[in-house]
Formats: sequence, structure tokens, C-alpha cells
Amino acid sequence: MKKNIRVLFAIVSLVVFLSTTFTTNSSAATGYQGYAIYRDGVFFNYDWHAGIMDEPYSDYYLPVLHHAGSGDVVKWDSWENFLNGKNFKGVYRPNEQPSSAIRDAFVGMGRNLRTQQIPYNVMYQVYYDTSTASYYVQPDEISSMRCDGVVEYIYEWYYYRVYGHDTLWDVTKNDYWIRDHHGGTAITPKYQALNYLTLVTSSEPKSN
Amino acid sequence: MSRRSFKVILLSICFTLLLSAGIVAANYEPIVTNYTSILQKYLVKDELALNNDIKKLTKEQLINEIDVFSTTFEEANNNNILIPFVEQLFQRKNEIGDLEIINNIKDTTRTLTTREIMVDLYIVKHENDINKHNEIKKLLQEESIDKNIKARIVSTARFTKNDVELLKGIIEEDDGILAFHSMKKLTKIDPQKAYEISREILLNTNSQSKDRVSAALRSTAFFLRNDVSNSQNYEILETDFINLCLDIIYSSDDLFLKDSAVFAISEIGSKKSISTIIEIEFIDRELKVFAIDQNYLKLKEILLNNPVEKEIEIVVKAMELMPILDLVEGLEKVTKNIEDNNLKQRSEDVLKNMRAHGIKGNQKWLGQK
Repeated sequence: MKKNIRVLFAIVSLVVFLSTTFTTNSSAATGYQGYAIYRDGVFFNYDWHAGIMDEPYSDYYLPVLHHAGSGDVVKWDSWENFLNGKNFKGVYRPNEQPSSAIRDAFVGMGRNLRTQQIPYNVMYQVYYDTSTASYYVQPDEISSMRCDGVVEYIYEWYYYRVYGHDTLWDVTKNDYWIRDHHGGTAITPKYQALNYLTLVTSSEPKSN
Repeated sequence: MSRRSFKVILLSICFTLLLSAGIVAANYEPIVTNYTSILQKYLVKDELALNNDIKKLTKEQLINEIDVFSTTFEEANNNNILIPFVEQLFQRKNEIGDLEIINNIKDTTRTLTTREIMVDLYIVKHENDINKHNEIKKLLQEESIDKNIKARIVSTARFTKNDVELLKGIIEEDDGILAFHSMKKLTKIDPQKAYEISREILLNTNSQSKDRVSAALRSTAFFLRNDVSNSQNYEILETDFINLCLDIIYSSDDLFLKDSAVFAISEIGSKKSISTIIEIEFIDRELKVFAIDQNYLKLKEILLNNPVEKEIEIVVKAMELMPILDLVEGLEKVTKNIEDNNLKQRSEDVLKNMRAHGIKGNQKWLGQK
């Protein structure tokens, strides 16, 4: 009987393992996928650095999508490279809870930005040519963006408001004043997380 | 080898290493000292005091401090420290002469970050002055300018039909990020020309760089969506292109290229392209959801044109992944006529979920140029 139970347990385990391995298309976002992540260590904690969880957990392969800075583009990265030896400050989500399907879309948009090879911009969250961009700035029309701009653009593309005045909040809308409103020290990664998003957990988002 | 000889050799190696370390440290000393002294100035200040101090800097000091901060190895991944400095620099953009900006862009002793900021400063200063944009574009023909800086100029400056030959030349000569951004610009100002170049690149993807292939995929998708969707041989062009993308999705080892190929199919924006993405199991769920959001109107159109059950099933599959309210009415109508009981049940189930949890179709995709 014990032997039969062991065999049954092995079969059930195998089925569970296979189902989690090969059913990526059938279930919606899991873990922390699509949520924003932050670490400190910018100018003695004057500010933070932002990214998005591309994978469900931090111990997955290349779990982070972020803009590391000048000379780089929006890219996937390891958890270690994202932290860069600094302190993790938490997982954040839009104030309005997104569905898991929308979180899939957040991840999809992040991966789209990655394939656009967008350079870094220190001044503006999202920079584009106001004369040539569409009414809503398409991913391929972004000239450059800041790390917190990656979070702001992805969430606001799907109408999840982050930072900004009632008439100027949507960073994806092609408008000189909106672009300007989302720049300089008016909004930084630290302000973005602490004032315009909701903390999900301050612990590292590990799978176990 | 005697124990004594071994000790001598070991000591020599240690001495050499120590000496090398000293030389390296000596070389880095000016940077470290400079950086440390600047840090000490700002370290004890709160945000308000910091910003007040930055305001007092001359424009030359501002540029120098940006350069020193961006030099440091320690903070290489922390460009955000520059935000208050760059904000101040941009506020004073009209105090800084064009020649001074251009000279800073050309100055190879400046960090890449500083030079990129100078490109941004120039473009922001002259956002709507195309003649000024032509001035900075001249740097694209100077060999001494770093390719990253050139890519920055291409991605940020405004290009017109007059720049077709310039961009074409860059695409022929480069195979990296500079070519990628040049192709992007060319696609917007002359889609036909960009398509012709893309066709050549895609003839043999194995011998081309990933940047060139990726740019060619997006350029071709743009051309198919905007310029030939009404032409007689559209179906052949579209089928060939989707097959090429699928070949990359199935066979390439490069995840960047695989994703680029999926996005290119989605960007075609046709019934066939969105149906392909939904049907191919191999494509990641997140990318399918992205494509469904991008093409929700095309899915709605399928429902309005007397769909066969195979087409209804595609829409049902899509709505199972990403329920969208705008499709409820259309799906309700066609569900009544479904003969396959299994599909009918799936459709009724997904409709319940769409009514309860569906989102509004994302209109931001409409009206793209």
C-alpha cells in the first residue's frame, strides 16, 4: 500500500510539475509580475532606482525589466544587477488594483519597450518629439526615458494613473506641458513609489 | 623547485600585484578625490539646501559637476543622482551657447552621460527649429563622434525627407543600435525606402545583426499596415512576412529577436496577424495579451462579419486571456448560432467573465501615425 501511495504521489508530483512548466499560456500573471520594484542607494538615498517585475519572482532568470542608465537601453536584468549592492525598498502596484490580465499587459508593454532599444533620459520620464508623435505617444515614438518613466508609461498606457495633476497625469498623451510636468525633480523614482503607488511588500519578492 | 625558490617567486608575484594596485589607484586618485570632495559638499544637506546650492553654480560648474558624478564607477548605475543638476542645467538652456553645447558633445574627455545630456539639451533648446536640428545632424557625418552619441542624435532629433540618403548611408555602414534607430526614423519619413532596405536585410537573417533584423521586422510591419494594405498582392506579402516572423519565433536562440518578431506580427494589425498570435501556443501569454489589447478592434470586426466557428473560437480564446467589454455585444450575437456545444459553452462562460471583469478597449492604439 505504501509503495502504491509513493507511486501515486510521484505521478501527482510529476503532473503538477509539468502543468506549472508547460501551461504558460493558459493562466494569467502570477507572483509579482507587472508590479514596480525599487531600491535605494542613489546619492546616499537622496533617491531610488525603479524597475518592473517581468517574471513572477526575484529568483527567476532575469526577473527585472528596467532602464539601468546612460549608455544603456530598457532591458531585462538579474536581481543582483538591479540591486547593485543597495537595499531593496519594496514592491509597489498602482493604487487601483490591476487584474492579472492587465498585469500581463504591463509585462507585455515592458517587453515591447525593451525591443525598442530606448536610451536613457535624466531630465524627462518620457521624452518624444511633440510635433511628430501620435495623439498618444506610441512605444516606437519614445526617444528616451528615465527608469521611473518606464513604470509611469507602462501603467498609464493602460489608464492606471500614477503621478500628475488631474489634467496632466497621463504621460502617454502627446502634450508639451504633460511631458514637462513629468520631468526634473517634480517626480523622481522615490516620490513615485512613496506618494503615487501602493506598497505590496517591502520584502524581496522571492518564490519561497 | 626548492621551498626557498617557491617563496621568492611568491613574494615577487605579491610585490608585483601590490605595485600594480598602487599604479591603478594612483591613476584613479584625481577622479576619486574630485568626486569625494563634491560629495562632501552635498552630503550633509537636505533637499532644499542641495537645490539652493545647485542654483548658485555657474553653468560651467554645473556641467563639470555632472561630468564628475557620471564618471564614478561606484555610481555607474545611478544616473538619478544627476536629476537636480540636469534640471538646473535645462532651466538655464538659453544661457548656454549652441557652440558650447556642440563642443561638449564632441569633447571625448567628457563622459558619455554628459555628452548625451548635451544632445538632449540642444534638442530641447531648439525643439521646433528644424534648421538647428540640421546643425546637430551634421555630427552624424563626423567619424570622431561616438556611435552611442550618434544613436542618441538619431533617436532625438527631427528628420525629414531631406535626410533619407543620410539615414540610408548610416544603415548601410552600421549594424548596431545606430542602424536600429536610423531604420526607425527612415520608416517614419519614407516607409517605401525603409521597406526596400528591410526586404534586403530579411532575405538572409542569419548573416545580419540582431539590431538590423529587428529594425527590418518592425519597418516591414509598419509598411504592411500603412502603405500596402489595399494593394492586390497584400495577402502574399503579409503571408510571407508572417511566415518569416514565425520562423524566427520558432528557431532563433535570441529572445530579443523572438519578441521583436511577435510584436512585428501584432503591428501589422490585420485579422490574419492577430489570429496567428492567438493560435500559436509557442507565443508567451503576456505577449498575446499585449497583442489582443493592441488589436481589439480587429477582433470586434471579426465578430461583425458573419464569422465561422473557427473565427469565433479565436475571439473566445482571446477573451479568455484578456476580457474586453467592447466585444460583449458582438460575441453575444454570434454565440446564439454556434453549433459546437463545447465552443458554445466556452463562449457563454467567457461572456460572463467579460461582463463582470472586462476592461474598456484601449483607444490609445487608434490614431497612431
